[in-house]
Formats: sequence, C-alpha cells, structure tokens
Amino acid sequence: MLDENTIPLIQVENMKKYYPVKGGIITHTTGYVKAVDDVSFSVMRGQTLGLVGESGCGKSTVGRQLVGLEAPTEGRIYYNRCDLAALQKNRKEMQRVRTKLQMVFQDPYSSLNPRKHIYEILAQPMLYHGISGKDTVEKDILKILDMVGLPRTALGRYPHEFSGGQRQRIGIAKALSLNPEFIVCDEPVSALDVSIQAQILNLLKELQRELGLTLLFVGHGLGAVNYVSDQIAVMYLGKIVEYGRAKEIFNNPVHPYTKALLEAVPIPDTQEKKKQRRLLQGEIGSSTNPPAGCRFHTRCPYAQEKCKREVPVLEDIGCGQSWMQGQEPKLQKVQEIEAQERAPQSERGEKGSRVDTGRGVKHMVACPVVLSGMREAIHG
Amino acid sequence: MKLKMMDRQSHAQRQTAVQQDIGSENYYQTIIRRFKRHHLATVSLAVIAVIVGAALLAPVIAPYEPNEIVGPFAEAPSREFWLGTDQVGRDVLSRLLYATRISLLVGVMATVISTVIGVVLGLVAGYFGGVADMVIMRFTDMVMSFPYILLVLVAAAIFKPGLWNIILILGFVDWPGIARLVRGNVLNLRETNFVKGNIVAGMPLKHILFSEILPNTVAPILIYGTSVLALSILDEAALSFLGQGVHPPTASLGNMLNGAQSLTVLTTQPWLWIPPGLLIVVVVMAINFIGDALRDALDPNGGR
Repeated sequence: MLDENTIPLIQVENMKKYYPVKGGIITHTTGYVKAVDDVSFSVMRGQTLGLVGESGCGKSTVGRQLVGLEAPTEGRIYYNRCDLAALQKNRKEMQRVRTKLQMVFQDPYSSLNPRKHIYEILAQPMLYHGISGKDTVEKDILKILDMVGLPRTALGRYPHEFSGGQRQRIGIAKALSLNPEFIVCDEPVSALDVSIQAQILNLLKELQRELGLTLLFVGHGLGAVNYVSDQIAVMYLGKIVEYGRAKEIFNNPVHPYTKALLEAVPIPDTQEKKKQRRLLQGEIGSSTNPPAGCRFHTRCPYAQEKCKREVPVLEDIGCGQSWMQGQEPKLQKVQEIEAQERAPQSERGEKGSRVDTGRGVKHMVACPVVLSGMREAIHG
Repeated sequence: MKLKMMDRQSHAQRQTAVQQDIGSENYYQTIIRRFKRHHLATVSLAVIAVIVGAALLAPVIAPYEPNEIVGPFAEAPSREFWLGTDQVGRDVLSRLLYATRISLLVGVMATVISTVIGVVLGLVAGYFGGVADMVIMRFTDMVMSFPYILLVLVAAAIFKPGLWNIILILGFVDWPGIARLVRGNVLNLRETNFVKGNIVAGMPLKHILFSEILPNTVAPILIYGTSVLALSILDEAALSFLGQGVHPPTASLGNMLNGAQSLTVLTTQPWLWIPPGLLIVVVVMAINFIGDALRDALDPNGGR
C-alpha cells in the first residue's frame, strides 16, 4: 500500500527519440529529427501530468512512446517499476501490460473504424484479452457506455452517425474497456467545439476520480491542461523547460517560454487587453538542427550571450514557492536550495527521494538567465 | 405570399424527413441508392444478369449440343438454327451460350487469382514496409513493364494451352495493379488512429490486417476488380483468337471469332462472327459501366 503511494506508476528516464532523415543520391541517413531529446519525468498513481508546448515540440511523440506505438531511441520507460523495453521479449506479459496503458486520440473522426459498429469496436479487444466473456460482454459494454455518457442505443450504430464529442466519448470508452491504469490523452479536445471541450474534460476528470486512473494529458491549450492536471511539464523543441505543480506553473510561471505561452492565452477582458502583451515572434526552431545552447534563445526576449553556449539544465527553485516578488520567505527557500546544492551527494539523494511524493513536487526550470537572476536577487 | 411561405415550410419539412431517412439507413442501403442513380449501370447490371443467367443455364436452354454436328455446313440463320451453323455444321447459338460460360469462367477465375495475389502482396508491402516493400514493389514494376500480351503468348507456348492454363496465366499477369492499389491504401490506413488504437489495445497482427485494414480497402479493390474482369475477358478473347487460348472444340468467345480470320467468313457469313463479337463488346462495356457506378456508390466522400 505504501509502495503504491511513493512509487510512480510511470517513470520516464532520459527518453530520446531521433527520427533518421534520409537523403542524398544513394539513400542514406543525413541527419536526425530530434523530436524528443533527453526527457525525464514521472507520474504518480492517480495523478495527471499535463504536457504542454506548441506544435512540433515532441509532446505527442512522448505519448506515443509510452503506449508502445514507438520505441524510444534511448532512455527507459518504467511502468510500475518494470522496464517496458525489457518486457518486449515476453510477449504474454507485454500484451497484459499493453492493455494497462491506453490512449485517447486527438482526432475522433479517424480513431474509429468506419466499417464497424460500436459493439464490434468495443467488444473485439475485450474478448481477445479475455476481459469479458461472450455472454457478459454486452453487459460490460453497456456499463462502459453509461460511464462515458452515451445512450445504450449507440451499440448498433456506426461511427459516422455520431458527432465529434460523442465519438470522443466512444474513443474514451474504447480506452476504458481494457481496464487500464494509465491513459495517454493526446490532445483529446483540440478537434472539438469549445462547448464540447469542457464536457469531455469533465468526463475525463470524473472517470479519473472514479476509477483511480493515471493520466498523461497532452495539449497545447494551457487552460485545458491546467484544468485537468496535477503537474505540468512545459516542452520546447524536445526538451522540458519547466516542470511543477499545475497551479504553480499557471500562477507563477518562471521560464520565459512558459510566460509567453500564458500571455498568448486570449483574455476576454477589455481592460486587460490594453496591457502590453509580449507575444513570441517567429517560428519554433528546427528540430533537425536545434539552436546551440538554450534551444529557446532565438526567440527569448531575455536572451543573453551565454544562452547561445550553455545548455540549460532543469534546476529546482523550491517547492510551491514563488520567488519572483522578492519577498522574504521565498528568498529563504532559495537559500535553502543553495545549501542543498552544496550539501554532500548522499544527503541530497535522501532529500530527493523524499520530495518525490505527490504534494512536494519540485518546481524545476531550465533557464540560466532566470536562475542566475534569482541568485543575484538573494545575494545582492 | 402566405401560400408561398407555407409551400416553403412544407418543403423544409420534406427535406428534414429525407435527411432523417438517410440518417437511419445502413451502409448497404446507401450504396444501393447511390448505385441506382447511374441508369446506364443499372441497365448494365440487368444485361449482365441475363447473360450470366443464360451462360449458367446453357445446358438447359441450348437447343443443341455445342460440339456436335447437327445441321448443314455454314447455313444462314433459320427457324431451326436461330443463329445459323458454322463451317462444320454446329449450332452457333448453342456454341455461343457455352462460349459465354467459358469466357466468363476464365474472366472471373483470372480476376479472383490476380486479386488474391495482389491483395496479399499489397498488404505485406504496405504494412511492413522496408525491405519487404522494396522487393515486392520492384518485382511488381518488373511484371508491369513486361509487354503483357507477349508474356502471355510465351507462357501459352511453354505450357500446353488449355482452359486452366489460360486462367492461371491471366491471373498471374493481372495482379500488379491491384498490388499497387492495395499497398497505397494500406500505407494510408496504417497511419490512421483506429489502426494505431488497435495496436495500443494489443490486438494481434492478424486482426489488424484482416479485420481493420482489409475491410477498408474492399471498395477500391472491388472497383479495380471490375476493370480486371473486363480486361481478362478481352485478353482471353484475344488469345483464343490468336489460337493460343482455349482450344477447340471447346467454344469460347475468342475462338468463335477465330473463324472470322478467313475472308469468306468475314464477308459472306456474318452470323459466325457478329454475335460473339457483339457479346464481347456488350459484356465488357457493361462491366465497365458497373465499375464506374460502383466507384461513385462506394466513395465515402461522395455525399448523398
């Protein structure tokens, strides 16, 4: 019991995914698209990690690797402390684990086979994995349909007879039908009407609470992600630039990119509109040939010379504390961390393992400018 | 004015009724309704049904034995011999019925064989990609680039010409188009979310290939299959005409035309070559019309 609370259900260590780029007269690899470059995170049982970033930052690639659609080029994925890559050899065990890791897709229009009615779509995997028998399967499916809020008459219908929101509910039902523990939601609402988005988000939250699901919520709308997530990881060009509790990230964003993302959220208030907004210029950099140093420096309003050289590392800036206002208690916190950094290795390791529970999630940022600014604020 | 309004209202009501109607019909009803809009194809279907029926019932409805000498040589159509007799005194109508049987059999069997080969190779090449794809597609290109009638002639010369040899030869020559078509479709389908969803659900390869992917390629295969069928019938006719196909005395539409190689037959005995020639044209055209209508009826983006 204790283990279940302290061991993350999903743990990703140094995940990298490079796609080879073929070219030349004789086809050979001329380079790599570094879709995901050294990403580590963990998700505790029953919690939701939101993965945010603009298109092409590699957030969906992370999700696809977690459910086994792709294998990471490097790094490890642990499910319940089992290395997924090692499981690959044991087919039976692999299949069992696969049913525990499910996915809800972005586009509800292509995630259901147009030639099959809902009963077939839902029943076939359940029967194959022996989750339900021939005589119980219909009852089980009806139960799931009730859970996701679909009418029982849906059973004999084809996907094209449903609206986008309803199809997404079927997609969720399909993921749920295998009794999963972990579901990757790959932008589940971005293809839906705004009015339907909230319904689906609420449904996901409800189901999570009822079934104790663990979610990875991939999205580019910070609002939606913040609404469902316990923790948020912000990705830019294949790397995590900021990580922390959802509330913390949303209220006190530290990394310049996170700030820019938040400032880009439309505000319906006319007074607010008058405030100058700093919107990012230009496009996301190339992931084949990412900028040296900090990958964000080409678009960062605070970029300095050193940003072009130093590759930033995620550093803890204190759990649940905002230091930006420069208030005393928060400074204290930072000093504590500095002390922690100076402390011998063993002590730090001990502390690290203790912070890893749900409540004391670190707030990590990868930006040398912000971090050094923070240190200056303390000492000067 | 008021009347007009009412009229408009009832029109709107009627429209919603129609829409509800469409909403509740199933996939096959939609296809049949769309197919029926092609009048030419509907007529073609009836024509083909009659021809196939006649061919199947040949032993029952044929007035004479097809290979037996039953009358005078090369007699013009009469009440006794509706389509006349050929040079050795066999009844042309009876021969025509049996010939249709043989030609359709060759066409259908060759199409089935080439479809099976094409689908299997296309599925493997499209789904697995990589080396398998390269080897299969280069082989396909090779078969495609061969001068086809020459290949058939050579094959017919090596193997003893006969009914089954002709079927096999045509079957092994017609598949590249289908293989390419299936491969292209599979490449698209492999990337769709519902296929990925089933991979995530841990479904076995067999299920993904034959239950998820294949049913979604049936429509294009069916459409392409009709043109292969028409082509096979034409090829059989051509081969038999050249004396490399179905061997006499078995009648086929092609070897019935064979007689028209002589000038006397061509000029003075038209009842020997016009009926089989006409039948080939009608059958092939009808099949092509049906294929066209199927294309529109099965198109998922075809609207109503």
